[in-house]
Amino acid sequence: MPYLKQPIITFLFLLIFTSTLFSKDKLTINFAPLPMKKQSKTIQDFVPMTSYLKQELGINTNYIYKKNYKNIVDSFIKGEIDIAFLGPLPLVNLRARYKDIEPIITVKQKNGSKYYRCVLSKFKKDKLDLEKPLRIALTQPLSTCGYFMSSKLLKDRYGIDLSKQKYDYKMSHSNAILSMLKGDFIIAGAKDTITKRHETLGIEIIAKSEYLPGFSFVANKKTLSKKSIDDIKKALLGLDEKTYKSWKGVLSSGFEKADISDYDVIDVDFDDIPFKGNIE
Amino acid sequence: MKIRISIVFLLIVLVGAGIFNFLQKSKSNDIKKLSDEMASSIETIYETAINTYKFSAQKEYYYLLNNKEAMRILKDFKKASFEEKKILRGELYRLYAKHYAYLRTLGVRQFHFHTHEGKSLLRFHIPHSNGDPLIDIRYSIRTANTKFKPVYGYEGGKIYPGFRYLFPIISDNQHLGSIEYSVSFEAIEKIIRDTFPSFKYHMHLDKSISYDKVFKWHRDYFEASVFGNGHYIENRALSAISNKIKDDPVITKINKEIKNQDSFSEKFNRKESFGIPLILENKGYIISFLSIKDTTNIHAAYLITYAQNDELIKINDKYKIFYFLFFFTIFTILVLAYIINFQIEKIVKQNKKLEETNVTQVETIIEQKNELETIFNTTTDGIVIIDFNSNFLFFNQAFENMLNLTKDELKNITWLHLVHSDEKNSFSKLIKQIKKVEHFENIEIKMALDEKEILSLNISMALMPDKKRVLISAKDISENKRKEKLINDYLELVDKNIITSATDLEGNIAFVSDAFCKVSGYTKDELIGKSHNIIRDPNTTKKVYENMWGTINVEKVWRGELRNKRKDGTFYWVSLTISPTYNENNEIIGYTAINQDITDRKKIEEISITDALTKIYNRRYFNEIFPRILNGVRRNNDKICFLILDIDYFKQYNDTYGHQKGDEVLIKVASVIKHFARRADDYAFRLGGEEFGIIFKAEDETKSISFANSLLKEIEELKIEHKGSKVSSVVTASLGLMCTCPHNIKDEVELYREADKLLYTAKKEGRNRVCSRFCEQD
Repeated sequence: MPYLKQPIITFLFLLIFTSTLFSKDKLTINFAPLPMKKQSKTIQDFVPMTSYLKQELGINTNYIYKKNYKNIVDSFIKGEIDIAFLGPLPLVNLRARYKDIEPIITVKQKNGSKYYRCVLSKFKKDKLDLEKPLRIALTQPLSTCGYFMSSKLLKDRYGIDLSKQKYDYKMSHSNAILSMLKGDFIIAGAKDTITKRHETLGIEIIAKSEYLPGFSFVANKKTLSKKSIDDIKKALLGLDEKTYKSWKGVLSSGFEKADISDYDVIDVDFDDIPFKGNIE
Repeated sequence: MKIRISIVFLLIVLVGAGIFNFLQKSKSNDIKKLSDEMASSIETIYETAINTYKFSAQKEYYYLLNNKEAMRILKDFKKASFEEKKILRGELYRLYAKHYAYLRTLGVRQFHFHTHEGKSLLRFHIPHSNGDPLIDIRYSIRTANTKFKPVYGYEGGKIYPGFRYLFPIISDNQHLGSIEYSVSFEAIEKIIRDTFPSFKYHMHLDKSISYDKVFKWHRDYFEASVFGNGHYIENRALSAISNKIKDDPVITKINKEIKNQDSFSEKFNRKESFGIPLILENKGYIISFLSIKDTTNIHAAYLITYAQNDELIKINDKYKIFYFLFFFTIFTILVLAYIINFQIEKIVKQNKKLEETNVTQVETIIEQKNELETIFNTTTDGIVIIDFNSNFLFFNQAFENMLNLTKDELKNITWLHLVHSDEKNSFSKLIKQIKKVEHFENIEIKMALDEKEILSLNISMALMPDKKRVLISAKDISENKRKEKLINDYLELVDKNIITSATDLEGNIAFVSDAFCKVSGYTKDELIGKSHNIIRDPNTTKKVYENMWGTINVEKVWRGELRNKRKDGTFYWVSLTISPTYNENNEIIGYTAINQDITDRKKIEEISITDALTKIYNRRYFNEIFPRILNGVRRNNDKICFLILDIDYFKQYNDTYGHQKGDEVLIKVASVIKHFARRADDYAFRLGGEEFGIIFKAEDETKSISFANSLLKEIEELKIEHKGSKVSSVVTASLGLMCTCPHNIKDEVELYREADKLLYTAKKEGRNRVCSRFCEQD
């Protein structure tokens, strides 16, 4: 039947072309980690995971490092990021601005819980003089432990209004703590685990928040297929304990399935958060 | 032949391989020199960078030892509790945090205090990571804290490998630990890059000082080197320096190319510095692998420099031309060798074919050569080859024999030397002329062998094909010359003494001898070209000549006697032999007559047969010739008449007039008879006294009788008075005529008797009359 040969070839060509055109099954994903530490250290925490995904699913990872949480949210909305590792506040901010998100995995803390705290800390030898304006080192405007939780903790613990203190964003939790250790600030607001890590340097925690929903991997449903999202979710949830415990950093305590409703507790008016410090 | 060609080709290939190898080595040396220069430059800059930081580190160390607060903290730390140490660590951090920020700007990555026990006291690059023991895994820390010596060098660590500068901290004789300044590769690379900004650099770390040395949780900071073989690079996702070249397509291609080179792995595993030249996409690169040694002088890493170097292209282009020329030359030589070989094989084949097919010819040539040699050696002609100076180059045995000289004698002289002095000049001219003329033939030359002996040679000369030698063929003609002289003498003798002549076929005289001229009275000029009739005796009967021509025309020799007429009208007798002469084709071309002057003999003969008084034949001649005539008549079947005449009363006349008058009458009558018998076949005789006889051939009876009567009448007409005659007043005669047929003739005697009877009858019947009788016809 030679007269059928050409239509069949045309059909097959169109089938292959259209399936390729509309597929979201990417071989390389653009991943943006939350910049809680300096670039190399931040990425380093995720390298074992991305190696694992490549091994399990054949997915390559292209790291997109943005120093500013806001820039991550903006890029995500633009479709430049397929998966982002976000804390509660950035996630809530993103959810408010962009509907095609799917939190897929939430990382556990060292205590095995997916929840964590934000804390305020200071160098033990430093004395707080509440009569004077305090110098507060913060992470980032959209960081949960940044202005949002530090303001709350200062208010709750010392009855102090952060907006009336001297504060500045040091862009990462570590930087906020080390800036305080250097003596540039009297108090630093950061995530509890990161703060505890610096206790060998004479740091003490002076205030703790309630448990907050953890850090989650959020998928961009516009740029990733459901299958890809499900494959990644399944692969990470299927990790055995021995494997993830061999990893260093934020992922070393394992994963839980993300629940978007966990973040409903974050009641924030983003207009109240200043995006710049007030130290000249 | 094939072996010889194979050897030639093998030699060309070997020489070509030698030259090619030389070019390869030369090119390799040029490139190696370039590569070495590059490596040397990189190494020098590298050492400079290391030493720059060494100097800075020494200065920092000096300031540290003089920082009293720092010394206090460290002294307190040595004896502090765990909790106190945390605060002291924080104080130390606060003391140097800003300075560390400054050091970072200088390229110092790690600023690390160690306790006197060799544990980490404070890492400024990761402040929260501390307290871990290092003395057992870090040679530098062990050396600084046990031997209290500074240590410099590249070394792995728990976090990063780096260029380490360690100093023991000793204050007030207290060992407080050690301080380490560690410089990242980026810092070293920056200094090198400032010198060579266009180059690109990368550090490939040995596994033992990177992956194996760091905290387990830090291993992800490294990834396997593209070159493998136990080397790692900083994770490209984390490291700025790795990330720099991460997506560089040129470096990716270069790495792929050099990795695929055969000798690369072996060089790389050797863990020594080496360089690789590479041409990629028409650009030259030198990739220098500088082996970085650790503090124990063991290979720790490769500092790889990617340098674009157009000089490599120039070298390559230069050698491309050399290679092209080389291959073109080799190709040309091989093609030429092939063509020559092809031609040689063709010639060999042809020669073989010729050899195969022309064996007979060769044998023939050999045979001909032998024959020639035989001819040369056996010919009586002398064969000589001389040069233009007439030196003997070759001569055969015949020539030696001809001159009666030995080989050695001939070798010491020249041809010209032998030439007779009269002819030396002319021979020299011949030698000069032969260069143009090329050959001379039949030249007679005299050779003076000594003062007495002169040799006559007939020579032919020919210029040899090489135009440098002359071939002479010589024939000894001395004997011929002698014979020729004899012949000439003889001929001269003959010419003078032998009457000879030669005519053409028409009888025109072509040659006469001097003797001929002498006897005939003519000169040669008067005779040559004229008819032989010029000397013909008109009285000689036609029959004689017919007989003569009839004989010589049938190419027979005619012999006879002729009477010829001289220029002055007198006659001479010759006995002659006429024979035909032939040309080389044996065709008759004329006649030669050899005469003998027999005039004298004829005169004697004539006297002996002539009657002295009447001058006609005498009785003696009659007796001699009569039988011969009769024989001739019988042979020719002729008729013949014999007439006897007797003067009437002649006795009375003598008595009357005397004997003298009587003799006169006899003379007159004889004259008449002679007149009547003038034909060739007529003979008149005085038979005795007054009796005469005539023999003549009879045509018929009437004419014969008429002839006889006329004779009588003529005698009577003489009117010689004869008074004593009884039958007439004048002298008369009686005549008996006997004509006979051949078969009737018995012999001369009978015929004479019959004629005499008829005379008697005539006399008896009255005289002055004829009485005749004829034979009866059949």
